[in-house]
Amino acid sequence: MRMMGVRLPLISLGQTSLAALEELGRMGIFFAVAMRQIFARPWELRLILQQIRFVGARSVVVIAVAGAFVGMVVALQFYDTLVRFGSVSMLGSAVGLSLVRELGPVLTALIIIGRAGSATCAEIGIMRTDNQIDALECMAVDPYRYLLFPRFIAFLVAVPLLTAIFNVIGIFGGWFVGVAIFKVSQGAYFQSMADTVLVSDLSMGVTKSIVFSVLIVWICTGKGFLMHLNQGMVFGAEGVSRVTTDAVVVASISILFADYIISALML
Amino acid sequence: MPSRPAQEDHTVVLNANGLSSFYGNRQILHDVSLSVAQGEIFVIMGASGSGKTTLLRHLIGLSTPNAGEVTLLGNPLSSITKPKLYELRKRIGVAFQGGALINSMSVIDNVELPLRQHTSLDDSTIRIMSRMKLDMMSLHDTENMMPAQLSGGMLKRAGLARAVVMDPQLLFFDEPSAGLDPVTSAELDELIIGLRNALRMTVVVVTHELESALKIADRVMVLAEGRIVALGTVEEITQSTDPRVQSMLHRQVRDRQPVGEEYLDHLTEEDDI
Repeated sequence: MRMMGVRLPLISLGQTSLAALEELGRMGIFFAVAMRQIFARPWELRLILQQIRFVGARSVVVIAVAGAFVGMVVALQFYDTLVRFGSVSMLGSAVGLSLVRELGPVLTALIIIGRAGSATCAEIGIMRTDNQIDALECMAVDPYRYLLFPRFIAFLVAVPLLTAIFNVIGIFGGWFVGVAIFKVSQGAYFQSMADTVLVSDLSMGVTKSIVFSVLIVWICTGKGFLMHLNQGMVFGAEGVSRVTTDAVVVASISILFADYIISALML
Repeated sequence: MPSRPAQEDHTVVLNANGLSSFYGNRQILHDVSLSVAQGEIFVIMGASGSGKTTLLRHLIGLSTPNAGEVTLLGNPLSSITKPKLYELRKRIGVAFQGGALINSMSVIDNVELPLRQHTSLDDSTIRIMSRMKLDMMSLHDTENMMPAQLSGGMLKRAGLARAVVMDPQLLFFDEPSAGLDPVTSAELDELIIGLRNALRMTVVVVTHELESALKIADRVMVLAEGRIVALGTVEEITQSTDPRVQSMLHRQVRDRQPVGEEYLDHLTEEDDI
């Protein structure tokens, strides 16, 4: 009994690590099985379009508003810095590079996690607790093909496109602050951008948004789909809310982590 | 009393042999075996926690038992591949307790789903077939409603309509009368008997409702704490002298309280890690 003081934390550390490892393994298998559906027929085109509409079209307004304000604040901050060095002509370059390489992909991904990722996780979690996924299995409808694969495609298509929208609107938000308010020359704003934002910068942004979209859909659908296997799992509404919170946190952290890794590799 | 047609053939459509199942360290099922013949209504009865839902999940291949073998329509499930399992499932129907309708789809879309996925029938044929099944469940005016707009009994019937839309050879029904008023519950019982008599469907029902079980069953299996305590025709069950069956038949309270020393031990028990 006296050993308990030392043993208990060790035991719980061991249990937590094992559970985490187990979940990682499950998520890995989940990802592989979901991706294998590329070869499964038929593709549920109607469901894919429905999901693209949900993830993509319905997020456009949020992304546009967010992009405008981010572009504006970036221009404001850079203007304030650049004006001290007398190089406000570089404003377009600074805004363009920071949006295309960093802020566009990351902020779009974070907004999509909050808007579509959490909803997707909750929806699939509810389907799991309500036996709807079992019902699909019993009707010989593969839930990976019918339920998950359309969502994978939808995120993969929508997130890079939304990132592009975010970037374009952000650049015009920057234009509004720089050119319309602070009277930086319009020619300088766009020319410096065209000179310094290279294809390699664009490809870094695109790579990021593709990787992020996969991370979001993987974590958000996987957490909901596998929620019945979690240790000490709770059924019903509380279980779904827990797993959704979990998915949002894990997805956000993974994106910031992946962002650093991709930047380090591609810079 | 509905008529019970004599069973012309005794082909076994579902067989389970020595099923044992664990949840963590707790054993849910102890060596459960059963066999269901073509055209039979077989009722698995038991109180909540008796392991009947776990047993059902094993029988339809949703989970694998730790020991034992299930043979569904002649196919052993332990060694079956996923495509073959899916082929097999097209010939069975499963109606879940709460209906388990896909909540983003209307009632008729739910009922049509198996047909759309597995047949190449044209839209109007699919619609007609689905409407026929909905009419059978007296749900004709709900076809455009969403599952969230239906009552518990309607959800259950819609789930049943979806389960039988492919005219399965074997139908599983989880808790047809749980949470329903007596009238609706009696209607569902009639439906089950009707399906068997009209379509010669084999039906496996899992329930804790004694009245409904005795009314519809050809044979009943009584489960208690994961063990079979009785298995036989309705007459055999009602005449059983087994105290657990008797207590269930007469709705007696289970005597679970440990006595004396045992109870004291239970109270002072420490979690020994």
